[in-house]
Amino acid sequence: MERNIPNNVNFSVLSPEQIQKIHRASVTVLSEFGVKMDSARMREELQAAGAQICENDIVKVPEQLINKCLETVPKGVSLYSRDGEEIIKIGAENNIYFGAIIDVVNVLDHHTNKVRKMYREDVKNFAVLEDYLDSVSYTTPAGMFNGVDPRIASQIAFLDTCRYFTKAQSIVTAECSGFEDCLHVAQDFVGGKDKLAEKPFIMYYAEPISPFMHVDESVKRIIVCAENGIPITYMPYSMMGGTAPVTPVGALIQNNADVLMGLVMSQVIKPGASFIYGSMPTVFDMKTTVGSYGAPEFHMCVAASADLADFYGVPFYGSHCLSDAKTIDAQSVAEFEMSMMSTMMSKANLVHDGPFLDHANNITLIGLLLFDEMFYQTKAYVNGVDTSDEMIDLMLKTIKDVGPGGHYLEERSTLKNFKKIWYPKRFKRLMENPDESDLMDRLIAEVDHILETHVPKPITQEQEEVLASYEAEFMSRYQ
Amino acid sequence: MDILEMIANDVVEGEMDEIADHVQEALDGGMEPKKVLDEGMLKGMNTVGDLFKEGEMFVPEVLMSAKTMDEGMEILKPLLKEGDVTKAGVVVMATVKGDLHDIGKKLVCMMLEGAGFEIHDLGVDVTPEEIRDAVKEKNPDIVGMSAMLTTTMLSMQDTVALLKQDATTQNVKIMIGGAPANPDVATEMGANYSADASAAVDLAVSLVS
Ligand code: B12
Repeated sequence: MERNIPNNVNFSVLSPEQIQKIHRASVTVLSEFGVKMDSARMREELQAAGAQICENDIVKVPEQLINKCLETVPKGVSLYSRDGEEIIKIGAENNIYFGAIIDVVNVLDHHTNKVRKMYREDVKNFAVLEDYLDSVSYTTPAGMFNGVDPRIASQIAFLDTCRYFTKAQSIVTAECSGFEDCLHVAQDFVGGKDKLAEKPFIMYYAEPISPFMHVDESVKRIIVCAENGIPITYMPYSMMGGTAPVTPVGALIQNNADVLMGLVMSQVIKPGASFIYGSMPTVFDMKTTVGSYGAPEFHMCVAASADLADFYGVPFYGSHCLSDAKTIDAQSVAEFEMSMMSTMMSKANLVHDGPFLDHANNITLIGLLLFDEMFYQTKAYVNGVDTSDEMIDLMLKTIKDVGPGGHYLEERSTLKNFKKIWYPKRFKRLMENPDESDLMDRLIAEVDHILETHVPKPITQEQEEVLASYEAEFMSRYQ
Repeated sequence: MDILEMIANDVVEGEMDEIADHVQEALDGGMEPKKVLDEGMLKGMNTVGDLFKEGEMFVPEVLMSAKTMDEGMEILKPLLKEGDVTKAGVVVMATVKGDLHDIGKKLVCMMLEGAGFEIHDLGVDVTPEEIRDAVKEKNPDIVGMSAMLTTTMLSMQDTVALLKQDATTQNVKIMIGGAPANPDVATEMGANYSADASAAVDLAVSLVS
């Protein structure tokens, strides 16, 4: 089977030798230096599986155990739509899918291009627009919007996402208990724990605290997911020079070791548990103290991490459309494009986080349309060059027919193939461009139009009853 | 370059290996220890602060300068009279309960230390009670709290409320920082806000003066 987005550009950051070197170094870290393991239960499980428990809860993992877990970890993952259709299928074809975000603390208002607080109605708007865009396959309700008690915001964001978004979800909560609430909703929503495990429309995510701290909270997430058949992404976010060594290779060794630790934990709890490799090694800006989302080294290292995940044969969680700028401006669009291009060329499978502005402090509806445009644009790029024998024959014939000084406008091959070339939907190539750009106005109008006209497929009466009863229970908790 | 300029320069340039000799040289020449401190090392540290704010110096360089200053202090300390070194102030710092983000708070601590504050860092995931107890014990001028999550902002509020309840803790100055914090939230809580580590130093200085 062909990849869902054909990628014929042969891009990789790391050569096979470089991958080996980083892998070896990560194994050294895990087997000789060890990592800190806060969870008592996990220490026991690891010890039983052959790991060595040292002073101060340091765990050392022998290479054999790592290899054993690499054998049991699934080489792919499938995720389903809210209504049970397989819409994400990662396996031998190495497919790629893009996600988006539902809510954060602040939103960049699409009419004013100014930051304001995010509220529940914004959650709906993001869900509706993301539901509309075919380029978006899953989304992330994060439960950071204002106006409800923050301890239940993740749960409420999840409920609304079930109502207004028909595809898959990658849930983020501040605490594992918030996820467990969402898990129960999801199980009841589809008719039980087994049904959800069979066709999960949600996944979850956890991270170590770089460097090498596998805290109770994160370990608990791995356990809950393994036991409930929910795919989990384990993804260190580290900052070179701050929470990671300052060089790309140092950060890659560290993150790779931490992800392998996550992988071992998940397989020790349940061999065959779904596991997704995530990694965000970024630059710690030594002038401003920001962990950068727009740094070129960051996106290069994410793509390098995708090479590592590919080497292990596990799905990779990438990142797209990220920027350190606060509004839609020349900087944010340039940084979006760089991250989009890098990720589209890379071996990422599930790509998350866009469209994030202000180093993950706000999101924007306009950004989603820009993402959509860049999605098709970069998709056209990675399509690469068709050098099949038939194509070479056709091209030689055409070139011969036209001859020196001719033109190709009336050639059959032109007529047959010109539609394969990508045409922008929103960007323009006018012979006579207007003196002032009207792109922002057109994007605003498009957002408004979609929000007015797109109606996500509604859930059933019974499903709404499930959501409503949970909503009432959540809302009553902190009154 | 006179010897005080050289000492100031050692601090700015992070000349860890040179500063001790230069401080000794100044003292051997009969200079008052307090003068070496004020017009040499502290002058250098002020320049460091300015250069960092202007984007001319970077975090690792600033931290190197602070370490260099410590090297010089090793020699000066036994010679300084009581009252010669005025501690800028005492600060109790914590990342609040439920929150594990700590690199920002660590940086604020390091920068404050560089500016002469005495720091008691309580770590991460610190409960309101633990913060209150530390305030009782250390009697700081300032309590600094870091929270990066909307959920843990609540714990900040709880801590402020707890500190206000007790006569021995209610007058301590409070500063907060982190992603969900902003000047409005701070004011509402009865606290002060700063956006980054160097602004935190300015804020702390203004709170104790
Ligand atoms: C690094 C990071 C992490 C690391 C933390 C590692 C560590 N050891 O600290 C990891 C990966 C572990 C992590 C985990 C999580 N994170 Co996080 N994280 C970040 C990130 C990307 C950068 C934060 C950072 O360290 N920046 C660099 C430092 C130097 O800057 P800083 O912390 O802002 O500190 C500066 C100032 O704020 C100020 N300051 C800080 N503290 C104080 C205190 C005082 C007194 C003063 C005056 C000033 C001050 O000065 C500092 C130095 O200049 C932010 C995004 C962002 N842009 O902030 C998200 C972010 C904070 N995380 C977020 C979330 C949601 C989470 C998780 C819940 C995700 C999850 N589902 O697991 C968990 C929560 C874990 C927990 N219980 O705490 C959200 C929070 C949203 C919200 N407001 O509720 C953010 C905003 C990203 C996002 N939009 O999704 N995270």
